[in-house]
Amino acid sequence: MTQGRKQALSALLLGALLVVAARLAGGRTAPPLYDSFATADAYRFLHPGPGQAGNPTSATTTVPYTGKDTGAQTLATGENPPQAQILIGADSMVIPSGAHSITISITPVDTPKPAPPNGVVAGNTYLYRIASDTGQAVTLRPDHPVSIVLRGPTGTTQGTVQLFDGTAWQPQTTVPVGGPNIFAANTTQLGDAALVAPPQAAPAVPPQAGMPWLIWVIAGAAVAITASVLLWSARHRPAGRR
Amino acid sequence: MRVLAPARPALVALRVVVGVGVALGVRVGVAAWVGGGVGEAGTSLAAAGVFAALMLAIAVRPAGHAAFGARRAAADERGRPLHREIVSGGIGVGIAGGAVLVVLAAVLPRTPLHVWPRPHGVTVLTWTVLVAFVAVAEELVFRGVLFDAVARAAGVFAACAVCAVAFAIVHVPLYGWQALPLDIAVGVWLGGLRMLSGGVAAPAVAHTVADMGAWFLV
Repeated sequence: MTQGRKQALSALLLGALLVVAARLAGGRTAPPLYDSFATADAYRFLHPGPGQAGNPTSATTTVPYTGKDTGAQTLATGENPPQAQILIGADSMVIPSGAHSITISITPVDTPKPAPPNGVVAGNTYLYRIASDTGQAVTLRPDHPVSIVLRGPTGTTQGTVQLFDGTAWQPQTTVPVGGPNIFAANTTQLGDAALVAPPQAAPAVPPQAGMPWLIWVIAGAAVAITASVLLWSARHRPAGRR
Repeated sequence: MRVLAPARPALVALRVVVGVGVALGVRVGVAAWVGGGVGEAGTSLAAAGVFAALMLAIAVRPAGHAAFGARRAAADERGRPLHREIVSGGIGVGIAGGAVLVVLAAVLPRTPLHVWPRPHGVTVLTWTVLVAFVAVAEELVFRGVLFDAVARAAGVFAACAVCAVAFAIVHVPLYGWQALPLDIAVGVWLGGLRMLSGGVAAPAVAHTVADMGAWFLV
């Protein structure tokens, strides 16, 4: 084996080990494979204004219950990426005896009043709910919080997930989770949840929204630049390299 | 392994770094202008296209021999046509290298949450072309021009490390600091493919294959 091949294999081994280490150490919300750019769907508003999309989706799933823990559950609304999600870890729910199934649901709802005092609701308010088929409440274990994830409209650079407790909005410890405009919080209470942005950071309709032709102009310019560079390069290639 | 590099590697490296910085700034600016926010840089197709074109402009002339130089030398030595040498070496190594990255991403723990937009419908075609365009352009710069310049000055291991760090830093404005360790690791892997194959075709193909895998894993 040549020295160069040994060096290359060493680098590859190191790279593979680093990839495994990075994944295990906390790269779970990093892009799946490094360049996952794709255009997100326009945010769907429950009450759309001019130029805004409407008809946000709901999500519902029913899980059979046989007396044993139902395991981890995830649920997301249908947008791309979803506007609301929930991640329930194993052994997180206290399910009443006698139940044969539970239903987890996420539904866009009107924002209850009073409005959050320290910001504006970015996007929709969603009702997170878990119910058993007996009608009794399913509660969450205090030591096993669930994660609720909310996406705001384009331009929501800051936000706090807040839960409405029946009288006021309660801010939750919130982290951005990698994707644009997406934030998550762990909680042991469900109900009405919203992403609340500081007033100065409230998203606005992008000035170029509704101008799809602009993308094509830019894409055309990119192709023209590329073609020009390639043509120029071909014509000016040094004679020794032909 | 033969390293083909320009005579003044420090100047080339500096030029590349400045050029990449400008290209990244333009990408973020276009994303903010078209997409509605700086945070959209990682998902704006138009910004990605402009970025790739600028990266190609940085790389294309000096990278011509970086991409194929060692392959050409090997082809000459073995008496085989250049295109066959590239296909048998760079592309084969690249496909295998990309497959390893996809498998690692699939089997290792990752969030079950959907936090990135998934290409779908008519956007799949645009996305596919752009992913390949961006991946090749990035590899021509990082594992092509920059790798050769640093390798000439400080050796291939240093080149592998420097290019991995530069590659990762470029992705920070797009995906945040949390992506830095993973992108450094992938950069080292792609650098290893560059060292193994002797050209930039292998990491370019591997990068493209790995990015395509995102379609199934997002």
